[in-house]
Amino acid sequence: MLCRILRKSDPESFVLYLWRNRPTIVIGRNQNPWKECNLKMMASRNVLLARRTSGGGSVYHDMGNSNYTVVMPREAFTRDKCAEMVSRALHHADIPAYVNERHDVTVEGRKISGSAFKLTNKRAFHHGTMLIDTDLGRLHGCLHSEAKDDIEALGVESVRSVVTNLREYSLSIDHLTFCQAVMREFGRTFGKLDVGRNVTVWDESDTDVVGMVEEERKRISTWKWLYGQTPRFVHRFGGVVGGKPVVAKVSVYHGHVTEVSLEYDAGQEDADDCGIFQMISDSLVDAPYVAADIRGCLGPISRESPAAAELCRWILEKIMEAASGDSA
Amino acid sequence: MSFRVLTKSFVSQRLTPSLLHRTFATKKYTPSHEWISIDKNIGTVGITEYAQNSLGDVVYVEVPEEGTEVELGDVVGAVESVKSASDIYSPLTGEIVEANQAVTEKTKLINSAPETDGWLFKVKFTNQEEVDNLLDEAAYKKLTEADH
Repeated sequence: MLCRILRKSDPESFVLYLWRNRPTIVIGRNQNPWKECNLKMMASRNVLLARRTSGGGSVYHDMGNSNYTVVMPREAFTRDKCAEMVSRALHHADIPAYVNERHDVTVEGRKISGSAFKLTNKRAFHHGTMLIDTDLGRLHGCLHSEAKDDIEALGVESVRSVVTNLREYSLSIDHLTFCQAVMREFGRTFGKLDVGRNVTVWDESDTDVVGMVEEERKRISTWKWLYGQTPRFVHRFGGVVGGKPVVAKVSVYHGHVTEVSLEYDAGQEDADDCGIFQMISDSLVDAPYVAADIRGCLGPISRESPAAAELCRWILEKIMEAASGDSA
Repeated sequence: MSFRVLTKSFVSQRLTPSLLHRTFATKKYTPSHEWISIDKNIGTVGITEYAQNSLGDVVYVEVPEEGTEVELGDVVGAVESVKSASDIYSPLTGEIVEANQAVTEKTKLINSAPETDGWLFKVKFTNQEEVDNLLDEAAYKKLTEADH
């Protein structure tokens, strides 16, 4: 998240950043939150959404998960280098970790740490998670979208892995012991780390840094970045409304509806139906794909007729399964 | 390979002058592994064979919007492969006049044909000096060999 500050570092340097945060689903740069997350559950459990600038799939963070970021010269980058470093750090804590073919750190075939990378002209970033004592129930719940199979999307789909916590293998490991082990191994891998000289401590009097963090925080918490950055997708759903089978198709680009198609199976629409379909489609185009906005658009149409009200109620219910996220 | 190329230019020379021109459009390169094919004041940009090979399977491509004014070095797109998001930079200052939508739908084109059908965008450039500063084929080849 501190990409901008880290980017300002000496282009030849290796920087290690260790951190953790409150419950959040973090999706990859080119992912679809409607497809990857259970936005409804996240809203009810107060789990935040974040989008990385690095690639890869979705992960769940909470205070039981520690994150590491390494920034290095682009030429020094390989996908396994930092994962291997973290794996070696765990060996010192008596945890038999190894890196698998997906560049994840695993123990006994179960994933404990995911990797994601960002490559710029001169620099490369490696982001990694480490499940130490995470709420795995919440992890699974929040990473499962009810609309997953109904959404056809460009972009990157997460690969599901069996996960576990380090707690299964060590009673003593925690955020601090993990950080110390990684710092030691970082020093061994990339050159001696002189804590007295090489560690920068920032506090609130560093107005430059505080200002930059605030600016970056604002940018990455905008709707435009979290939802609007989503690659083009189509949400298809079907059901029975007023005794007739109906199929809906909503196309979304940059988080906004671009096209809506509604039809009864086997062309059972009459002129009234077509009129309502057209009104619904017209009202939804350009709306952000968020339940609250969709509800606002459909309100006036619901008052047209009982049939229209039933159709609108059904559409909203279906869209809420996928789109209970934050308003634009 | 060299024989085939030779034959092609030979045939085009004998056929039409426009084909002749196309065959000899200058190809330039950047140190960040983009290629630029220069035809009059339009540069067609993509990533090199070397770049696609080091990236691996491309799963997502983002191209710039047509009409965008860009400056040399601006981030104008993105490519994702094997959990890595890479920025695409504009090698020239000018206006984006066309973007390859086919490659956003069929990202494998970047791997299978990075220097032909897998082109990313066309920029109408305004500064000839920037073109002159790009690497020629020999200089780019030297750079990628040094990377090994």
